[in-house]
Amino acid sequence: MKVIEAKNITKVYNADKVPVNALRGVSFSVDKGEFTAIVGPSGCGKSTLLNIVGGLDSPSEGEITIDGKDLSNLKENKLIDFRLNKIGFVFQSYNLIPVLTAKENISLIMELQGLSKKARDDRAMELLKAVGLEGKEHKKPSELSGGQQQRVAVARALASEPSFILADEPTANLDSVSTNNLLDIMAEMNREKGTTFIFSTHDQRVINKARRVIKLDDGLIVSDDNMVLNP
Amino acid sequence: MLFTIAWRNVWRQKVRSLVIIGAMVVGLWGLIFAIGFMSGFMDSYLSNALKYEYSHIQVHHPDFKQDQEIKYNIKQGIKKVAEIVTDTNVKAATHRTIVNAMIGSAKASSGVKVLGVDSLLEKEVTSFDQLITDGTYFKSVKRNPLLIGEKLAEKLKVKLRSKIVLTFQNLEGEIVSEAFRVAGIFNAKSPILNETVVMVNFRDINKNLGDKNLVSEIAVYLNDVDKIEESQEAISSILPDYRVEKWDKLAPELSLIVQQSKTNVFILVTIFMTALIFGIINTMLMAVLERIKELGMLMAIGMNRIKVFTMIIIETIFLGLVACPVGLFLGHLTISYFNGNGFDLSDYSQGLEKFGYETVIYPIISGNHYFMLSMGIFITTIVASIYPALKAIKLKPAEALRKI
Repeated sequence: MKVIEAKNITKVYNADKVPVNALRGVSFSVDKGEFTAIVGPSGCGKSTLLNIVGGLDSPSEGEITIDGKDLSNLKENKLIDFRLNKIGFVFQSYNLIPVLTAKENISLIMELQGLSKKARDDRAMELLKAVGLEGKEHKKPSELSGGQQQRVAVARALASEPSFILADEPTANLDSVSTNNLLDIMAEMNREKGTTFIFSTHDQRVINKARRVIKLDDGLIVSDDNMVLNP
Repeated sequence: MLFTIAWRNVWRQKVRSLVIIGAMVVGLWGLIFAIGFMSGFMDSYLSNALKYEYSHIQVHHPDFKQDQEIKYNIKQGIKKVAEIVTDTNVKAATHRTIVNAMIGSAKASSGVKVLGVDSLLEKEVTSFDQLITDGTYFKSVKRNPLLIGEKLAEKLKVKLRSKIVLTFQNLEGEIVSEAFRVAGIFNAKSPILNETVVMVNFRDINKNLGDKNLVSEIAVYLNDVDKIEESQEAISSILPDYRVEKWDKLAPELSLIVQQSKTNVFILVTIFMTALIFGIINTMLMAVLERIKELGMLMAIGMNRIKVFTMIIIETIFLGLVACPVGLFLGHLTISYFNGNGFDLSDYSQGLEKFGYETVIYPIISGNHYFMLSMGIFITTIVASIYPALKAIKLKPAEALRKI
């Protein structure tokens, strides 16, 4: 079952002045349960592609479909709702809200979805346990290590029960131990719960864990090694 | 959770928030004191003018105002006063005879307005007995006692028990002279009263006018000024053929001063609120600009623009909600202190007294003012938060997330 389908995506920045072709006709699809890494050198278009897949940016040309829904037809408010319910985000620099505790950071997204307090609390605790942060629920981001913050970010991304999680260089600011912990958690969730993960990364440790690696260069897919579908 | 985030965000940059909160507190405090001071200043001036000079309502013959002659008098005026005081809102009422006369002492002479009053009723209406600074209120002289203002006494070079001659026309148009003696010297708040008015018993003047019951004016002092319209109507029904006027018609200059005072308060509040708007915009704009990435993240994960907008508004309102009670409380404390102890302006007494102002001001401020100021702060904070909130929702999540 296809979760993401991208057809001939192009993205041109600064089209009126000095055009920069960030993506030049990228087509790919992602099935449910994939653990995919999008790799490539800086400036190859990884983040642009992730932004377009995540509905944060729109393509100059081409079509992006998530769960069968064409994102280009969605208006801003619908797109925000769509992101809320269908996509989980993990950012490079964690991007937790510093004034909220770990539990509140996770609960926020469920509150935006309109879940009851009890449901939010229960799920937040369950997710904190799943990412190994039981007992840290009342800690604010500043009281957690980078690895712990990123695990809270993963829990937050999972809180809305999205179709897939987009992680933009999630291990870039982490040490090896934290990176391995985080990758283990995400791999376990992918294995046991079938959560779809798509990473953009430079990190070889992430690439090694990925079951599919899409390599971008200069705005084009130069290789797509699907180790599950094409062993 | 929007409220939680907004509240905690207020205290994220404690110093910055405290600076704007402090500015609001000090501004509000100063504003309350300034309004209280102006209100106290005006209130004392107005109440002095009403208490010692105009009272709340006056009745005259329709032509009296144009030409203050004794032929324009109120028929059965003394009897009508007795009817007027039956109104429960009327605290006291009195009748007066008003005659323009020449006053002469052994040393000088001058033009004056002679008020022929019923001494007992008059002190109920105007509390004039409290203004006597030398001598007594009509008591120390048995025959034809007269009260004179300090300034006029000085001008005529007279003192207590000095003989004074009043010369005026009677109802027949004949010139009449009558000798009086100074029983008391008064210092009214009004310079006009001090320099151009003398007061005698109405019987002593009326006997020379040709009608012992002649009444030129009826003055009424009320219990509740807010019910002045009702009382005016009631008096009009007792004296339908005469002109019944409220104080603001009798003394338009007083009304103008009161109105001017209100305008001053409005200008002061407007200046304060405008300055506050810019202060808050500055603070909130900084708060938004330093959180661009965070706001981008919130919009990326699914917080819609209305919620982001609301969050910024709530955050700003919280600043006002912290500052407002403190400012109101400090303002109230200050007003209460000076209301009890007075604000001494005796260093400027000469100038103030010349214009009929008190030298000790007792600031007052109404509950309505507190309410209006609170609402003003509330509205100002909302208005000031709109621009930063708009700035926040115009962010594009993808771009905002790239900000360092």
